[in-house]
Amino acid sequence: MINKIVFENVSHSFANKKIFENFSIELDAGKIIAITGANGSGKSTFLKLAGQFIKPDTGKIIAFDDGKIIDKINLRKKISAVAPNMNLYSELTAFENIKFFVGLRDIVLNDTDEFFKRVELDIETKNKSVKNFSTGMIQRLKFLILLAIDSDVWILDEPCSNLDDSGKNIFLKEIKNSAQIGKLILMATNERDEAKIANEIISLPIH
Amino acid sequence: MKLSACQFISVIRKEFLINCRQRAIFVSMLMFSLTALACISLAIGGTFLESKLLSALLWIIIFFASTALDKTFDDEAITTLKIYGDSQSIFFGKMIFSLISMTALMIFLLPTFLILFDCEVKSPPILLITIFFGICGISGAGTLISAISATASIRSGLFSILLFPIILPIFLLAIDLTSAALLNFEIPISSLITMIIYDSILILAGSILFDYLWY
Repeated sequence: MINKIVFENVSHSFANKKIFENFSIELDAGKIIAITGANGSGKSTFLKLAGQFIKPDTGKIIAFDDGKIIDKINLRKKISAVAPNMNLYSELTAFENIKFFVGLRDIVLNDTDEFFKRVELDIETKNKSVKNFSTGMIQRLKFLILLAIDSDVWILDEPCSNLDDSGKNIFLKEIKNSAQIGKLILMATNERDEAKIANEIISLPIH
Repeated sequence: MKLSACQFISVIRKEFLINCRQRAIFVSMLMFSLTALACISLAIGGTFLESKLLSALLWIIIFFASTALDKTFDDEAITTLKIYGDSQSIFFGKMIFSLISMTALMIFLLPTFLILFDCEVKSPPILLITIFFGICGISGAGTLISAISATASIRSGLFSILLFPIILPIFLLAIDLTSAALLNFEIPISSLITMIIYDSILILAGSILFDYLWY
């Protein structure tokens, strides 16, 4: 189980803008950490750095699994995400998408009905092509995949975008429950409702 | 470097489902082959062609048809795939699917070519083995180069430019072997062994390099 992700003197620039300079922080498991800030302040970049999807210009990002340092390949295996730039396969049905993505984590899932109920997605949509889904339904499906994979670290970029109130409540409840069982939740958001459930808030300044 | 059967099968199944529904890669390969075959066959009429020239024609058609593999990493969910997918399963899954597509193409292309150019094959097993190892090399190189060109900011023509020098040794050996298989000359076994070794090195190097592209 991932214990923490540590930023050590991290400096990083994006599009010739210095986003982080000698930035150090410990992100502990069992907490919901909200990253807030204006558009372009570097919220998504923070998430990419934490997940080691990108390298910082200088400094180190270290992940600890059961107290031992793990490399980015092993960290990647412990991460699930919901983000606006994450697409699903429009040619596949909801079930085929779920089966494919959970299969990539060596999980064989024959019964997905329980997950459809958890995200309140109509079970009849299971065999419908994703190209016929609304943006809110796609967001619920991305969240369903995240729940089915059940990783140690959740990286959430605007997780409640395109969701109605009922969808938002379900997501926030699941996020809170997951933090309670020891998952590390990193959530980039500007929504007050989302930030309210966070144990820690990192506010990024405008550059 | 570890390959999981479950992940590998998931990738092949997904590629198969999407390509069956879109048919993009296979149809473009098929249409190019059909057009090239029809043009050459109609242009030369009944003219006799030497086996070396026939073999070169066959492999030129295969090379151009394989440029459709450029679309291998035009994956609409590439970001999601990078989060959940392991590099080796993605590389080998996509490579095996390219091999399946190329094999399906050859099932159509080879008999049509032999009929249209009135070729008699003296050594069918050698011809089939040559075709198989030839398309193995193309699939391995094509998958890696498609991944490289997908990350490049300027993509135009990059796939063909990178593919040509990498698979040229395979083509030269394959032309030699195909020609020998048509004429029943003494089969250059050393060429076949060299081709298998080159394929193996290509796939191994591709698998190692792909980790750097993926993570």
